[in-house]
Amino acid sequence: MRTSLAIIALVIIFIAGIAIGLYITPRESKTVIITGFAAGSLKYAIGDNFIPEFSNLTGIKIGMSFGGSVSGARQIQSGQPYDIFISAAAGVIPSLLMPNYTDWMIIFATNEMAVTWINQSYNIQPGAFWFENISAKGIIVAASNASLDPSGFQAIEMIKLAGIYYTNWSNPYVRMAWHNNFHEFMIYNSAWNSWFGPNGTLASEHYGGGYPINDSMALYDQLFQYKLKVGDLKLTTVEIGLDGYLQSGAADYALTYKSQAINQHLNYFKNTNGSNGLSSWINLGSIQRNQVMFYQEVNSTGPSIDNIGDYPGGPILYGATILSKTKYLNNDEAFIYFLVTPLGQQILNNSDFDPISVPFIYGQAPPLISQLGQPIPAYIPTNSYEEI
Amino acid sequence: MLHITDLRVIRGKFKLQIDDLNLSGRSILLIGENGSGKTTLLQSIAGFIQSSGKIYLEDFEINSLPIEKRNVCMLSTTLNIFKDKTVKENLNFPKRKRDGVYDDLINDLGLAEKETSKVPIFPQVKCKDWP
Amino acid sequence: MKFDKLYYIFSIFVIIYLGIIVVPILRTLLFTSINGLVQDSKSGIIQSIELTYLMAFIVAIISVVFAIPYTYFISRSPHPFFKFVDSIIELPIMIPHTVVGIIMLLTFEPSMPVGSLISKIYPNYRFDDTFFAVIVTLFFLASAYSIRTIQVSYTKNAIEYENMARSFGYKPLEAFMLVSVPFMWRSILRGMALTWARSISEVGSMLIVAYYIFPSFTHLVGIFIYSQFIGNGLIPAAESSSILIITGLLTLLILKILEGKDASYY
Repeated sequence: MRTSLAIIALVIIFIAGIAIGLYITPRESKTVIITGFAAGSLKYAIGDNFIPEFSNLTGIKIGMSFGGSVSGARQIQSGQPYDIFISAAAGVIPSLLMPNYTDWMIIFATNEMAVTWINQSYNIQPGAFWFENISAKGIIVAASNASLDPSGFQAIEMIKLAGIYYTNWSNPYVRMAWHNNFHEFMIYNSAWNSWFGPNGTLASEHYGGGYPINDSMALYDQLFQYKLKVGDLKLTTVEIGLDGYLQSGAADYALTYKSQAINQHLNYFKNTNGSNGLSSWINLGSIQRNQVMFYQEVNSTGPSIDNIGDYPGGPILYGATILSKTKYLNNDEAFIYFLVTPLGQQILNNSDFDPISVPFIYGQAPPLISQLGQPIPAYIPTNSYEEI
Repeated sequence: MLHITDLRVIRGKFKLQIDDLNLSGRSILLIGENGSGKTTLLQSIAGFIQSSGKIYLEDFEINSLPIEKRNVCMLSTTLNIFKDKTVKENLNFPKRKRDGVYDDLINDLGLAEKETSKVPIFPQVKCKDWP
Repeated sequence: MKFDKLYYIFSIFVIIYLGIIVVPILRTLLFTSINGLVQDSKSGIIQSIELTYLMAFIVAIISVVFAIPYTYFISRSPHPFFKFVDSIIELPIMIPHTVVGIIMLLTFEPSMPVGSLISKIYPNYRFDDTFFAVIVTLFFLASAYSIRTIQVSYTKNAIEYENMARSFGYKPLEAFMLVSVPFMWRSILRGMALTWARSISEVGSMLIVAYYIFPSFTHLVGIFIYSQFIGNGLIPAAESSSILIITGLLTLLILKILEGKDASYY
C-alpha cells in the first residue's frame, strides 16, 4: 500500500514538473538559435548583459557556452559546431582555428591584469607597494596555468613588466611611464630594493629575497620560482571557483583579469580614482603605441610546469569570429555587429572591459563587419594576435 | 527446565504475550498455526530478538545475557547449514562441544568419506537423534 | 542450449546497450595508431596513470574499511532516522564535481572550520594540492559505490546466520568474520572495483583541489589528459585516453577473474 502511494506520488510530481516546465518555457517560435563559445571572463558582460539585450532587440536567440578560450578552440577542432567564437587571447583564433574553421577575426576589446582578493584583511590601499603584499612571507597567490588559460602567461608577463617598471630608469619607456618624475620613481624603487634586495625584508625573513639591487626579475623569481617551490603559488584554472579559492583561503590573492572582479565578486587593487592600481604600462590593457612596445620587452616564458613558450609580451586582446560552417551567417553577423558597436561597447565598458572604439580586422571579414573596423596597427606585435 | 514470565515481544503489528510458562523434558514439540508466534518465542529465548520479561534456564536468568552467553543454540528450518563450509567445518562449527562429538557424528551420519566436501552437493543430510 | 522468447527479446536491449558503451571506446582506440601510443607513452601519461591508480586503490581500500562496519550498523538500525541517514550517502554523487571541489576547500583549508582543527594537531598542515586533498575528495565522491555494493550482499538472512553462530558460542565479531565476511568478499571486491574506477575518472573536483600534487607537480590522469587536450590538441589526448583505457581494461579483467564464479548463499 505504502509502495503504491509512493509510486503514485512520484508520478504526480513528475507530471506536475513537466507541466510547470512547459508552462514557464517560452513557446517555440520560428526563431533560429545560434550557438557560440566565449571566454569565461566574458560570462558577466556577454552572458548576463549583452545577450539578453541583443535577443530582445533582434529576436535572435543564442546558446553561449563559456570557458577557457583554448578549451573552446579544441572543442571546435574536435567537431563541436559552434557558429561564433570569442577568445580572451586573440592569438587563439589564428593559431588554432585558421584556416580550417575560419579565415578572419575582429579584435574588439582589451582587458587588464589585476591583483584581486576577497578577504578584507588582504586589502591593498591605493598607492601601496602592492608587490610587497603579494610576495610577502606566507601569502598564497593564485594564477592560471599558462597551458590552460591565456591569463596564465599574461600574469607572467605583467609581473616581469612590473620588475622593469620599478627598477630600470634607464629604459625610455619607464621614464615615459613615470612622466619623467624621478622622485616618484625612486619612492617605489627604494621600496622595491628594500624588499627584494640583498639585505631586504624577504631575505631577513628567510623567505626568498636576496636578489641583486634593481633586479627586474626579482618579483617574477619570488613568485614563480620561490613561492612555487614552497607551495605558495597556486597554478590552477582560475576560470572556475576562483572566488571559492579566495574565500576558502586556498589563495590570498589572485592574478587575473580586472573583469573577473565583477564576474566573481572580487576586490582588486585600485588607484584613488577607482582605476586599476596596476599602471596601464604593465597591466597589458593598452593598445597605445608606446605601451604596446614596452609590453614586448618581456616574454611569456614561465617555470617548466607553467610554460606556454617564449613569446614577447603583448596586450590582452579579445577576438571574435564567425566559424565557416555556420548556417546562420546573417544572424551571426548581427551578433558581431551589435557586439562591436555602441550597444556592446557600452556593456563591455560597464563590465570593466576596454572596448576598442574602432576594432581591428584580421583576415577577410564579411563586408558588414569589415566596414566597422580598421587594419591592425603595425606596432602591435603579431604574436599578440597570431600566436598563443 | 525453562521458565518464562511476563514475556512481551512486539514485531511490527504482531504481539507475543506469555504471562507464565514452564517447560521441562528432553524434547519439547511446540505446535501452533502459522503466525501464532512459535519462531518468535524461540528467537526470544535464544536472544535473536528483543523481548521484555524474564527467561530462566535451569534457574539461571538469561534474558539480559547476549546470545553467545545464553547456552541456547538455535537452528531455523531454512537457515541451518553453512553452505560455503564443508561437512567437517559445519559439524565442528559450535564453539562449545564435548570431546569426541565430531567423530561420533561423522560416523553416525555416514559422511566420513565426504567430510571435506562442501555441503550443497548433497541432496539431503540424514538427521539423527543423539544424546 | 534453447532459450525462451524473452531471452531473445531482452538480447536486443543488451546489444543496443553494449553498442552505446563499446562503440565510443573502440572509436578512441582506433583513432590512434600503435606508433602514436608508443610516442605518447613518453609524455608522462604512464607516471600519471601509476599515481592515479595508486591513489584510487587507497581510496577503494578506505571505502571498504568504512563500508563493512557501516553495513553492519545500518542493517541493525531499523529506526526511520537511520533510514534517512542511509539515503544521504548518495548525495555526494549528485553534487556537480567542481562544486565538490569548492566544498572541500571551504571545509578543509587551514583557515576553514575542519582545517583549522587539523592545523592545531599538525602545525604545517596544508590542504590543496596534497595527497590528503585527493584522498578525502575522492572518498567523498566514490565511497557510496562500495557501501551500496556491500550492503546489497548483506541481507537480513546474514544477520540470522550470524545469530545462529552466536548461539553456538561465538562473539559478535567472531560470528561476523566466520559467517558473513567469507561470503561478502566478492561484493567487497566489486565495491572496490567500482570505487577505484570512479576515482580514476574524476576531473572536476581535482581541477579545484589538486590540479597537481605538490611537490612533484604530477597530475592525476584525468587532469593530465585534460591539460593535454587543451595544450596539445585532440590526438595526444586520444592517445593518452587509449593507454588509460587499455590499462584500465586489463585491471578490471583481473579483478573479474579474481572474483570467480558467483555463488548465491542467502
